[in-house]
Amino acid sequence: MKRVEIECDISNELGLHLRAAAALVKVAEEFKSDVTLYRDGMSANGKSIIALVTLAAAKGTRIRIIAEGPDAQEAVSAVEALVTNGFGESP
Amino acid sequence: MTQKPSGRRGVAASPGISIATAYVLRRERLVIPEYRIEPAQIEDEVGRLEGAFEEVRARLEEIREGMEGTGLVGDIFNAQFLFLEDPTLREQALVNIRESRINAEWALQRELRRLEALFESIADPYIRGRGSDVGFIVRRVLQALMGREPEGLANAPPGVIVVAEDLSPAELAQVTRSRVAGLVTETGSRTSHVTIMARSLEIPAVVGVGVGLVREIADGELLIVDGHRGRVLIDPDPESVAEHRKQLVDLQALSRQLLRYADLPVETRDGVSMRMLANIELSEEIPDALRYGAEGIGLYRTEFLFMNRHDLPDEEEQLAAYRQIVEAVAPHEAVIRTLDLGGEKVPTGLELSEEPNPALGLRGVRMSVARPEIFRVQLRALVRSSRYGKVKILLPMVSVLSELEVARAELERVHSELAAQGEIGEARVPLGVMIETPAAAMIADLIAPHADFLSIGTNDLLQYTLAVDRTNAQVAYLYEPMHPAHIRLVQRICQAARRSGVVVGMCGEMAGDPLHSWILLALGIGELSMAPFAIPLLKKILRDSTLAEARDLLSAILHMGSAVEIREHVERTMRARFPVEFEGILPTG
Repeated sequence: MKRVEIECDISNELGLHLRAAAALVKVAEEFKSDVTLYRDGMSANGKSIIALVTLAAAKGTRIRIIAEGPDAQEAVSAVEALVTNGFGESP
Repeated sequence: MTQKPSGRRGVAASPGISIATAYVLRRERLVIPEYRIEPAQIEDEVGRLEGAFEEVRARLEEIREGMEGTGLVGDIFNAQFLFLEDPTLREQALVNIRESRINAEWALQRELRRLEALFESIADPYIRGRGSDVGFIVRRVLQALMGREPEGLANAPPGVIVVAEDLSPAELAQVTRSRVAGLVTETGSRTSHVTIMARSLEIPAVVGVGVGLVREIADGELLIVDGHRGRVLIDPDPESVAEHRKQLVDLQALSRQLLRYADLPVETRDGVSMRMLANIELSEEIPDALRYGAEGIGLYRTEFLFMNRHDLPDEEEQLAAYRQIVEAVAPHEAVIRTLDLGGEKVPTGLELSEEPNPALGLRGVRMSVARPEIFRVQLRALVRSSRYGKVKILLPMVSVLSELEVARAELERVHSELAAQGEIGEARVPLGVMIETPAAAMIADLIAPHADFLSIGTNDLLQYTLAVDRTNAQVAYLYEPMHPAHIRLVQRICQAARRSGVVVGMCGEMAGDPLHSWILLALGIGELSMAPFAIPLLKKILRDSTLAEARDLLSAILHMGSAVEIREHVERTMRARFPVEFEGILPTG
């Protein structure tokens, strides 16, 4: 079991709102690994839209992404890319 | 019993007038059965819960197939499936069954309570509001468990006005233009899902009317929804109905009539031509802009390419974006403005220092001059995009002539480089100047000979000329395009452009307001760039006008001393000349 961890900032204007969280769930579900997001001591299952939305991570929030499982590296990279691209959101 | 008020006010969410009978969506209070179960029953309860989730899923799939809304509306609806499959919700409910040995309804309800409390504790009002999305989906599962039909709009007769406390994404997905003539909700705001949906389907809507509305209105009662003014009339008297019916007919005739103007060129009755262009933010807006009759893109801002990211977009990425615009608008031309970042929305690659007053700081062409390596990449991408269609480059925030000279030299260098590489031919991409500082307006006669075109950005020109921040409620009343100082500056710019023989356009909000159209015509503005939907009305008004009468109006107001006096005179004149257009579309008073 691999464990990969990375930190990045929420960069899109609206933060981790409904559409962004939905996009994240879709990406996380493509991987076997468990994906967890941490923010100020709170954690959220990356495959749970409710957990992600209730993290209430606004623009500029620093989050830690941890993946554990056979494809942990790929999962972390994919989620990180989504977050740093502002969830493909146009302002 | 209190006397029923005849009208209620809310947020004007989606324009239009609807006169129809009410269909009131009433939500039955669900009484959740709560009982303990034996260990032997656990798997049965788990099965019931899983079955209920499956049933709801199948019902939502059916709704999805019949859905009219797309884009954002589709996204909102599709998120419902994620809530339904959410491990947090479902697994915790299953844990409640197994560990607390309680029935499925109780287990689910208990988890909903926990989640509701979690959402309630969040400060962000948008996220707090999403708690209702979870509530809606859980309610459907509970109804499936209890063998109840979910309430909804499936049985709504065609052509009704739907009245509800709030509408769930699933209910909204059942709203179609044939079935629903109008929407009224107790809750909601300008940005809520109901509003987005109503606008996208062009259904008149008033939201945020307040608690008690659903109780106040009976099924089948006559309602008038006025989506322009944000009013709902309940059981209106015959005179109100007649009056609104007339407005409705006028509006329908006007919008039909207006769309007929979309494809016509603007030429006044005495033969003066003007071009109508669109301001856009995204390439996706171009098809709509063309449908409304835009003869090109008058302003495409490039900031979004640079915002909300950690690195700078490279030449290829920028080229791809510009090419998309240029190709989508062909055979017309696109005016693309170079980067105008200021204030907070900057990528980390720029490493700008914090400024106490960004509006007066390093923004627009000032930053391009200060950071030539960033400017050069943008110019290269813009010039390369000219291979795919007609593109013009517009420089924002010019205040001294040397900024234009530096930009021109840089553009020449880029041209030679790219021509040497065989990337482009000999043709030069036109370079224009946005006149949006009083300094540029005062030296427009010095700028114009060196520019290929001028474009007046009235939003900033007004802010700087009048020293008014219009988002500051205490001074917003001073923000007035009809201020004599502003009109004189625009006049000065137009004279300078005429002497140098360059086209002058306008791309601020003033350009899209039909009230100002005669003033701009008389001043000699050749191109108006505005929000796409505003184009047909401008076309109609200008085609019905003459330069002679516009000049009469201009000479009358040039002698007036105050913005208030000018505005009143212009309004009186325009309303007298175009009573239908100004009554129908513009809010009165």
